[in-house]
Parts: sequence; structure tokens; C-alpha cells
Amino acid sequence: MKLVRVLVLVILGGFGAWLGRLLAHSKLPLPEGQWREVPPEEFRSQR
Amino acid sequence: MARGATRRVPFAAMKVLVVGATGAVGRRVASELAQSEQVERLVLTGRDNGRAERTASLFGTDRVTAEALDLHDPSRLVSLARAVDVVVCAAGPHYLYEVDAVRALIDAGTHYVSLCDDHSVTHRVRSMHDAARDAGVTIVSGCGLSPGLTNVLIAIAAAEVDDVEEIDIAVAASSADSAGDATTLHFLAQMSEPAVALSDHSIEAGRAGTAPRLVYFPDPVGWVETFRSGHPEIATVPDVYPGLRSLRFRIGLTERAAMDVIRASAATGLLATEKRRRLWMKMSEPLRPVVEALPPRGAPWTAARVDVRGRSDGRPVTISLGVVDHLANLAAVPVARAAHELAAGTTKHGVLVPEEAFDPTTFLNAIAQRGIRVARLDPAPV
Repeated sequence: MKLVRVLVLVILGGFGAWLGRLLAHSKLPLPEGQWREVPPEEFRSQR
Repeated sequence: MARGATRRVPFAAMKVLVVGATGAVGRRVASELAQSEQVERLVLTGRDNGRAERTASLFGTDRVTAEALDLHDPSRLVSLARAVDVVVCAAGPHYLYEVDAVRALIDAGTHYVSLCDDHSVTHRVRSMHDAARDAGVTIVSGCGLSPGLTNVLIAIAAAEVDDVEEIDIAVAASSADSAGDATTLHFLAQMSEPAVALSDHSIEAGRAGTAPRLVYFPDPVGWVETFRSGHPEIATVPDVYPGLRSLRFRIGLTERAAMDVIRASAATGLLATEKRRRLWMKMSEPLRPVVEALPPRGAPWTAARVDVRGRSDGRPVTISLGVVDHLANLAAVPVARAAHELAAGTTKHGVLVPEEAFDPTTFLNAIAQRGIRVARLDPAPV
């Protein structure tokens, strides 16, 4: 019975933590910039 | 072959042995090498000879053969390695095998490249530099995504900066883009070991899985919450950039709930030993689909990003470069390319990091030509 209680508490705690984080971090920042695919020749040789 | 002599391989005459060729990444490495016209003979090894033979038969050519090899028997590795030009190791987790494998390859006098990404063995491998140099072999321990492509991206970004002061490395992985049990075991070990970083010119250790920060990765990955962690680059990159003030490594999963479960497990000591990690993997197997399906979860791709900060013409500058693809490709393509370079016999001898062994630009060009997407971040105007 004690084990069941502990398991229920762990599951509820995990669910609560997940839900809390989901709500708190639901909005992501704007993109930091534009990722631009780089053609290999854009990099200069270093040797 | 005389110790210290340089082994050069003519075009279309490479003989390569792949260790751990039956795993998810090993098969991809084998495929990459089998497609190369320069590979004359490819030997695929695994603990289970039957699996190795089945993997070799998939290629439908007698250029590809199979051998049984258990890395717990280094003498067998030495004898197999003596018959080839390069050994590629995709067997993991590397914290179990890398040191013995490097020692065996120095004994065999054969070049070696691996996907080792465990910082716990980096110092021990690097301490074998003189022995490798004297034996005339090149050892590149860690030439996949990270370390590997991250080192190359750092070198290319650093070439645009006069004084490199700070470097940040971040990796975003996905449970849905997993590359087998060895990769998962490594990740669990990484989360349970101290997160080593270079801070204000000195090495400091924190707890892995802490200090959350959102990092913006190349499309289609985007924003991912990452956490501090140790990685081999922390031990090697400061030697290349002596003026470096700080170097940090961060990692996150695109499935945030899965990452939280792993962090919680690590914090409670459930991942502290190899035995516990294997048990954890087994016990968590039924719950994995549920946890991985919980939102928020991003694209099932893997990406890495490096930020190199310093000064150029006296002004502060940041260069941000990234790569994105599936994890098996991001690991297999660089290590296969490295095998070609080592077989060509043009590299220096010793235990080297990728940016010391290969020309970063030539290396990255070859990777990009294999379809790996390389990107540069153009910052949004302030």
C-alpha cells in the first residue's frame, strides 16, 4: 500500500512538473537570426 | 612496416577495418566506406560473427568481408589491424573500449580514427601521443559530430577572429533520431558525470544537466533547451587556442520531457554506474514512447552549433556556425572522410584532434558534398 502511494505521488509529481514547465515555457523567443546554408567554397582554406 | 615510416596508400587501394560495424552507426559508416571507389577492401567486425556476415552480405560485393571481433580481446584487434591501412571504431560506449583500442593500434602500427565522445578517457588517450608518434601512426580519437565536426567548425570560425576569447558548443539531439544503445548509454553517462568547462582560464566542474538555456539551432531544429555537460572538446580545444578564456559544452533533447526524466534520474543517482544505466534503459523501455510523445517536442533531427567570440580589428565579434542532419550521418560521414585522409598518409603522426590532423576547410567541403547541411547564423538586426 505504501509503495502504491509513493508511485502515485511520483507520477502526480512528474505530471505536475511537466505541466508547470509546459505552461511556463509555452512561448519561445523570436529567432536569434537567420540560419543561412553555406556553400563549402565560402570558407577559406587555412593551410 | 618499420616503426616511424609513413604509410601512403595509392588511389583505389585502401584497406579499412570497421570495428562495431553491426551497430546503427557502424552500419552507416560501413555504407559510407563501401560507396568509396578508393576502398579496395572493407572488413566489417562485430562481436557476433553471424551479424557481421549478414551486414557484409548486404553490400553484395566481395570487397566487403566480415570477421568476429570482441574488443575485450585486444590481441585479436592487433592481428586484424596489421592487415589494413586504417581502423575505424564505431563500437561504443567508448569509455569501455577506447584506451585499449588505441594501445592496440599503436602496437599494430596502424592509423586509427574513432567516434569516441567520452571526456572521461580523453586525457588517457592523449597521454599516448609520444608512443603513437614514435610508432608512425595517427590516432584521431573522436571524429564524428562532437568531437569532430564541432572542432572543424570552431577552427573555421576562429580563422575569422583575431583573438579567440570564448567558445560555446551546443548539441541538440532527438530520441526519435537515436543511433542505437551505445549512443544512449553514452548520453546517460554524460548526464551523470561532472560537467567540466573552461571558465576564466581554469577548468571547473559543475553538475551535468543543470544551468538550462535555450539555444537556437539550424532549421528544422530551432530553439532547444540545453544543459551543461562535459565533453572531450573541453580537454583538447584550449591547447589549440591558448588565449581562450572560456569554453562550455551544452546538450539537450528536442523532446523536453524525455530530457527532464534523464536529468531527474541522473540527479537521484540512478545513472551513476554502467550497471544502473543498463538497468535504467531496460526498465524505461515501455515508458519511452509515452514520455517522448509529450509536448513540447521538436523536429527529429540532430544539430550542433558553435559560437566563437573574440575580437576582429579591435571590435568584438561572434561567429556562429552549425550543422544539421540525422545523427547516424553526422557521425558516419566525418569518420569515413577521416579514414580516407589517414589512408592517404599525409597527416602528422601522434594522437591528434581533427583540426590538427586535417585541413578544416577541405574536410568540411568533403562533408558538405556528402549532403550534410552546414549553416551560418546571420544575427537579427538589433
